[in-house]
Amino acid sequence: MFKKILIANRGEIAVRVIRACREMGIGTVAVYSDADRAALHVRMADEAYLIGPAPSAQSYLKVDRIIDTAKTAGAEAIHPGYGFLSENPEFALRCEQEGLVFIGPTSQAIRAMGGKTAARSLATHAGVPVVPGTTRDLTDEEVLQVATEMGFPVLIKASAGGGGKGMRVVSAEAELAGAIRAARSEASSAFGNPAIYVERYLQRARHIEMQILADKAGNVVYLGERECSLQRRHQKVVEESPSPFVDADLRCRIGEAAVKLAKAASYTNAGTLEFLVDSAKNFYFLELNARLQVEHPVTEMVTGLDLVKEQIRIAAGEALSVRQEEIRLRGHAIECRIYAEDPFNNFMPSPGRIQVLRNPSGPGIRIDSGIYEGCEVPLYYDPIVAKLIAWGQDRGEAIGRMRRALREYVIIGVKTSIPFHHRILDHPQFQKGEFHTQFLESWLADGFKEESGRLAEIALVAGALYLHTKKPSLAAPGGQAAPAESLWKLASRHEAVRRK
Amino acid sequence: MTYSADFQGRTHRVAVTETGLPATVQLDETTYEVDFAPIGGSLFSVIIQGRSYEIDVVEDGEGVLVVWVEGEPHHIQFEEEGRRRRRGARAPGQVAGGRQTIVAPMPGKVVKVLVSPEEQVSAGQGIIVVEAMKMENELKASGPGVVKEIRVQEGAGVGGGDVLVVIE
Repeated sequence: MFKKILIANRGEIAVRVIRACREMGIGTVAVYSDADRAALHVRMADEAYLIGPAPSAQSYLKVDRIIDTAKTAGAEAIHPGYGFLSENPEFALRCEQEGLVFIGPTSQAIRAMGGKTAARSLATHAGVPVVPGTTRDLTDEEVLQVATEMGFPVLIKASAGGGGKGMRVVSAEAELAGAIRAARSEASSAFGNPAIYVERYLQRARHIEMQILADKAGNVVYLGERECSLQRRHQKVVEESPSPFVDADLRCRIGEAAVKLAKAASYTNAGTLEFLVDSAKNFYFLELNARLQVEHPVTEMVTGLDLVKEQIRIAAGEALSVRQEEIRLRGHAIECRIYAEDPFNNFMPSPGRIQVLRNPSGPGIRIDSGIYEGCEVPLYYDPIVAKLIAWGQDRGEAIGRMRRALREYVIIGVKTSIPFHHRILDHPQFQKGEFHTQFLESWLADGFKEESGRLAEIALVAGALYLHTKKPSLAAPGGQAAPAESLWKLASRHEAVRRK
Repeated sequence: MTYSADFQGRTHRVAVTETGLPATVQLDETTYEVDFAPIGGSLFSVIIQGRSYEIDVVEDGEGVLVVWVEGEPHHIQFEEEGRRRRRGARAPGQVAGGRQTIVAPMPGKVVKVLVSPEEQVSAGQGIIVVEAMKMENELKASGPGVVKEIRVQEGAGVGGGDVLVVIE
């Protein structure tokens, strides 16, 4: 087993990996940029090294710096987290060449599954159904031809990437030229590659993904699915496991397809296969994410497994700790991704200093986060600040716990998506489990403008009393609150009133 | 002390008449007996007729308070009633504006200015488009008013916190 691991990431996922290492008695090495000197992951690690200025391209994406730091610190393995270098085949290859263990799949497997058209092709050969479309990159003329043959609406996608970039839905031939131009341009700037392909656009489908683990001996298991249909601009907002739409039979069919494809790709370590599922319960392979995903906690909560520890064990050459027959899904888990964004202002990123932080807790509540009261949320990186996860014996209890926890969760100083999550969890469609990938966006299109104002009277009364007991003039610009009345003073006044 | 309080386009009258324990507060037509206890920092415990609430109050500048109740924020513009009348503002009950500053949320570049000076704008109307973090963001008016100052030009770089447009 490794004695020391370098975590090539930051924020909540770096904290997550450090925790797993600590539990396994493995030393931890953190890396940080200028913007992250005060970050939580730096304080939690055993060792920490500065790797560059704030922008990711000059720090967290600097392959040489990270490799050198690992060698200086004597780390035997590197955990890449998600994002950053986690699916960069060159980085995985460099690790292999430098005698460092990359905690993830081989660079070859990353390369094979990273190109979306190659992955679709591999799936088709393995007998796994794919969304109808092309399995190779297309020229502009070919896009027109394919789209006309398939029938509109179609989806133009970037071969080299994901995360919603380089994607365009085209409903009619007239929109095609503009959409191709836009998709190629976005793909070029996001992934350095303008290659595109075409899929049929499945309306009202669900985005369901299957978690797998594969060891180096070729054993592969599936750990149950995650329902990820609630997305905004192709970014997941709320995830859950199991999916309210998936029955045992569908789970088995998707799981076995996932295992088949992973074996065909000689995939190792943790991975997630994404599928679209239509209302007739047909499933179609979309892509394989060759990394640990943001939403892995919901799978951990329902399976009882620690996926990061499994990743480390697999990387160290150990066999899988579970067999397929032993894997059971128990209860139901929901995750809300808390972003530093303003839901009342088009989800604009909201960097800044967190002045007040009160975390929810109690039965069935888990928080994976990299923030603390007083910390700065920098503007250079992904605005995810925390993940709130609720587990219950069934979906109803999980929802109840999540709603309770959201009410306890107070973050002041940056705008967060918490009010947005309140509304989603309160929505009858969500509670019934009846939704699909377009649901959130069409609901948002009707406007998410105002704060709920549910307790407006209380807020107005409290605000007035606050100002009244504060006393200094309202005109003070950007006024700091005067020191709150001491509880002793209040208590003695209370006593005086009581004695009368 | 009496305040006018603007919330979601409506103006309310809030009068604090007694600050003993309990305090007495009249909100529009209703009177509340309130036990208002500071806990520390921004946190207060409020009990009204036995109902208990956890409240955070944060000042957002220019008389705006953000009052958090049960994890949900309420942006309220307070003004002492005497001062408001002197400024010739509208009576309670009517739709109110108040001074708004459109502020750059982070460093970026002004892509497009959508309004002109003296233009009448309404709540939610797009005022200026700023590009930052590879995304374009349209900043909107939070309430109705008249554009008083446009402090930047298209193409200008802006810093986080810079006031871009003033609406009154």
